[in-house]
Amino acid sequence: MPVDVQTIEPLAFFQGLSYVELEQFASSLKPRSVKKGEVLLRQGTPAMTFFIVLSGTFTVTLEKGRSYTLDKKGTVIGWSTVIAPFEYTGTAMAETDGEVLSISSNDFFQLIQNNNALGKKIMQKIQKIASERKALSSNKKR
Amino acid sequence: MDLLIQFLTNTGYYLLDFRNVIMLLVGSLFLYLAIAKEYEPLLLLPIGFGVLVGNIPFFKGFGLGIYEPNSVLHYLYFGVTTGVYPSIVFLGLGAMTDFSSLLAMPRLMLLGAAAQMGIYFTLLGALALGFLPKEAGSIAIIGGADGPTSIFLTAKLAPHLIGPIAIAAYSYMALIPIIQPPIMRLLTTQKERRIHMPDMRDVSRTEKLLFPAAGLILCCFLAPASIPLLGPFFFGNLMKESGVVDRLAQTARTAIIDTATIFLGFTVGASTQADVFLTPKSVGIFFLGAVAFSIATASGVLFGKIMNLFMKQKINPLLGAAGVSAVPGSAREVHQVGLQADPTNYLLMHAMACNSSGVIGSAICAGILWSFLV
Amino acid sequence: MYGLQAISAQNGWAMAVAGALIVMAGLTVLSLVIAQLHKVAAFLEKGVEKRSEKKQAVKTAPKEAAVTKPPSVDIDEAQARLKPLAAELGESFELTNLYELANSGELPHVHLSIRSLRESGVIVPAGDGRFVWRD
Repeated sequence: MPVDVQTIEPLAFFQGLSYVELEQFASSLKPRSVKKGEVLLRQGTPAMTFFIVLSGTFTVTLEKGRSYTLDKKGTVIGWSTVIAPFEYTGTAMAETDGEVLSISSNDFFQLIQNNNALGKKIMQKIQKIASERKALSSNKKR
Repeated sequence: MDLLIQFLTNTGYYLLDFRNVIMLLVGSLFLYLAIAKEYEPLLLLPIGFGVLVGNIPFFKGFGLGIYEPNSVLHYLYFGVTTGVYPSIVFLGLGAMTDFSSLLAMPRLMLLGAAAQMGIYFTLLGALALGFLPKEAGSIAIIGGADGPTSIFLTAKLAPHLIGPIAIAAYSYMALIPIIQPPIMRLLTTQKERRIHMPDMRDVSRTEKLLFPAAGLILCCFLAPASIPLLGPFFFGNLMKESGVVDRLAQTARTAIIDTATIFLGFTVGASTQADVFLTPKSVGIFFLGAVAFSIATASGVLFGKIMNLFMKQKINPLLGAAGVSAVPGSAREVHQVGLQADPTNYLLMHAMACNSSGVIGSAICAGILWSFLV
Repeated sequence: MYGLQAISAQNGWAMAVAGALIVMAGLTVLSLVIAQLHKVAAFLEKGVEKRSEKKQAVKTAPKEAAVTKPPSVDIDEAQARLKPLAAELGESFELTNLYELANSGELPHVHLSIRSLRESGVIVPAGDGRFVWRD
């Protein structure tokens, strides 16, 4: 079932995109129901899909047993699909039943091929998130 | 009893030989790569299943096989042998490509041109291996890394080689993540890989409208034989950018290209019958295909380094690898290798520009080779 | 035949060099042209802007004309100019005849003058579409 623009418009990641850009992005997203205990992605496997949380609680387990919980609507899981190291750096498991939107890397790159301006905006957002992640992980290391 | 025996001797089980088994395994491998590994599934799944269908043994003369006139598969194959499907695929490609990145930084087009050198080196290699000129031309175009272009030219020059050439072209396109990165790392230093590209300017709608007209005239006047590919390509792009025929553009980049891709992949796969495909020539084609891709990647990267000798504002030579027109696979690889060298270096948009120019370059090369070898 | 001999025999070197040069030259020219496209686009956009500004000006112009007042006419002067002409036409006359006579004499503001004289009661209707001059 196609994803509605209204579903993604309020999400933080999609702020600043025009209606046409939201429509294009929405047409590439696939909704998926997730059951409690289901593993969305595994650490060390090639990152081919990223997910946007719509509902539910997810635990991401990193190396050395570190983990954190994601339950905010609009959170993105699986950024390594488009940024280094291009393999999942953690394992994401559903703590409750929930719903996510997924987009494969093929579809993501096709989207950018179709609309360079949208691609530029998305890459700028990704750059910002990547630098925030880096800052967060270096703080955690300290 | 005779009837039963006649029936049994016409079954695939009876007619099976080891070559069919090999091809069935090849088809299964393609399906595995497409479904389990998600390597270019849009191409490998139809091709893989086509290989399975084409290699089910049958009694020749029943009008079943793809090479038998009046068979259903033969009618579907018509679009391959006449070059219709590649033209339709190019229509859809044009309707789905945004040339803003290329228009914002036109010098990246030269990297797309440089990557086509793989075609001409492969031409020499194929001639040296004893292939006839038309066969060599068809094999050489594999270096353009464009499946529809390869099929189009082969259908014109050496139709008996469509099967192995198409399989080689699409296989190597799916293997881009394995072929390109080592070559990129070998030919560039860490410092070069870390070169940041300037931000791209915004491109106006008028520029995007003028481009397909300018591209069509300049490219097709130079190589009129590329009209069947570049004509629909720029037409599709104009439909996309005009904004007044959104319905047509949407149909071109979805239903139409998908339909053509299904039939193209399926019939090309079905054409790889064991007796046609498993020949020494096919081995030569596969070997030359790997050479073509490698040289194309290398020549793009090396040209980027040469450009830096003359340019004040350096370009990242990794972008040369994106001149190989496997869209968007090679752009993605360049982006990944760039990020691995420097996690803040996002080359994707620039790589997309080189990719788009590679598509145009490979179509022009097909036109040039066709006019040389006709 | 194999190797370099095969390449030479089939004209391979010439095809490879010529083909490479043609595609490089072609795409170089295309890149030079598209490097100038933004100037062509700016020129075309400027032309479109000027034309749309002109259209806007034409649309607003009639409103301004409606606002401007017509030139004022001196009643005595109008009387002095038109009375002799009215006398030529007889005791009663049609306004169109007076208008044509005044125009052929190249008098200024004929229509305005006749209207002013009608409004001030100098030219009054006599019935049957004819008018008379009242002193």
